[in-house]
Amino acid sequence: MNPIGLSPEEMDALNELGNVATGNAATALSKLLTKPVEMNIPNSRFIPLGEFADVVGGAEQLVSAIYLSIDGDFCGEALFVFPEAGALELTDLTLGNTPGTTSRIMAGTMEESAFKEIANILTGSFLNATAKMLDAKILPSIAHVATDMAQSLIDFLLVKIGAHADEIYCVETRINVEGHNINGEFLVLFDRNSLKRMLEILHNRYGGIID
Amino acid sequence: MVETIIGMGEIAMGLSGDLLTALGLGSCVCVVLYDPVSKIGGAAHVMLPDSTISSFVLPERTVLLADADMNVRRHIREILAQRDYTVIAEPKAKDELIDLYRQHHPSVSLVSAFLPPVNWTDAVQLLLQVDHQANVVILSPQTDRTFILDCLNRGVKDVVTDPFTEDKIVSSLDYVLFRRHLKFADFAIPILRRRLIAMGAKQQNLIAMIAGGAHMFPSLKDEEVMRIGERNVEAVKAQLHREGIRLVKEETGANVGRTVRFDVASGELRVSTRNGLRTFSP
Repeated sequence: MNPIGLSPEEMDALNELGNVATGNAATALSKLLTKPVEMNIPNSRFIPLGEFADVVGGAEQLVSAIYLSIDGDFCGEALFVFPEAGALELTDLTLGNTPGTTSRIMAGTMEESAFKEIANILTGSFLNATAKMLDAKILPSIAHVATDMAQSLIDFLLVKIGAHADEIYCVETRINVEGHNINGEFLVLFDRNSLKRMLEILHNRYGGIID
Repeated sequence: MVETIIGMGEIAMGLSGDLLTALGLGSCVCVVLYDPVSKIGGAAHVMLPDSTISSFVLPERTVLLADADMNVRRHIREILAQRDYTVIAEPKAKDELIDLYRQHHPSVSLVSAFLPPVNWTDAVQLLLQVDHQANVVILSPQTDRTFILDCLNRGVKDVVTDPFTEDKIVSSLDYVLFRRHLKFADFAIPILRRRLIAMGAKQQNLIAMIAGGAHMFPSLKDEEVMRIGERNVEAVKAQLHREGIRLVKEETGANVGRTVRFDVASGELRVSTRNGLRTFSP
């Protein structure tokens, strides 16, 4: 059982939705970097708010994060979290620089744009795949970047949810770029009403899988 | 030194030798309350300004009071009557405890450590077998930390030690019943204050220090995040004012994450950020 009373079959259906969408995102990223990108099968689950910082490497871990809000027929948040060193290396790869060139991702720079671009591409392809399966419109906002302690970057997201619940539904995928020390997290959080509507659509369209 | 990490939406109290820590504050605010004379302090990790925006339902304020001593029961019943708590059952022994719990399903159970014919561990075990979510508070004559930790490890939510003052009883019940509401400034600060007073802090000595309330993504417009950091700081200050507590130090706002460590013995507040460490003494 989970906080909103979904059956194991319904959780599976949501998980499967996440799988397809993530596969799409991995392909897109690997095209951008012209390198094999490994993204594991996402772990979709409800996480108690207090444990969320552990998902992104621990409360005080210095990370670079990209945040986008998700709007349209379904609402939520998308978040990319990389340990700072990994974020710098990823930026260098995107720009075609030798790893080690970028030493800080500053606001308004080309490096920041490159880093954001990764989030735009991944989130875009994830949401496109989701939208296609659900025949819905889902749009990401523009990307926002910050580097600081992991928990400090995410607590405002937990606040939106925390007023009404003690757990958060999260599709968590680890990103690994072959031959590089780039290990990040791609997290998509959908709000509860959106989750319920998604399940209704899944029931109607793909009823056989769930029943 | 014993370090206690205060998670989001939690509060903690400490004495000399304790270090109270809130990690990685972004829009959240850490509120430290301190009595420098008695060296009793506490901290809250506040997430949200105001519980009125919440859809959490407030629990009923019904109490089961299990104690063999008629005078203790009368004393506590009288205290609770003035504080909107209703005692709905008064078992005097173990067999009655379970029967009356099943019958009344109180929101919280105050259970004497000496409930006959068993000791408190048996009583708690039995209660938790009946209802694993039971809110059990032990009424105890002992005061040492090992005993309290032992209670908490066995599923007790809190321990109140003799003498059973109004502040001790009410702050304990509020803390146990409104745990999910401690993420809101309007619950966290009054409950923390009352718990410190129950531990021996004096209202007139209490001072406050706060840190956090940042806006972490500079390119995000304030409205998009409901000005949450700023509103947390405003709400915390308003609540401190209502509680009559003087704010002596504030490290809030900006675009920086903060970790706060409060050393109860010295009253020193250490705020570390990616830019380094700053310390403040009251």
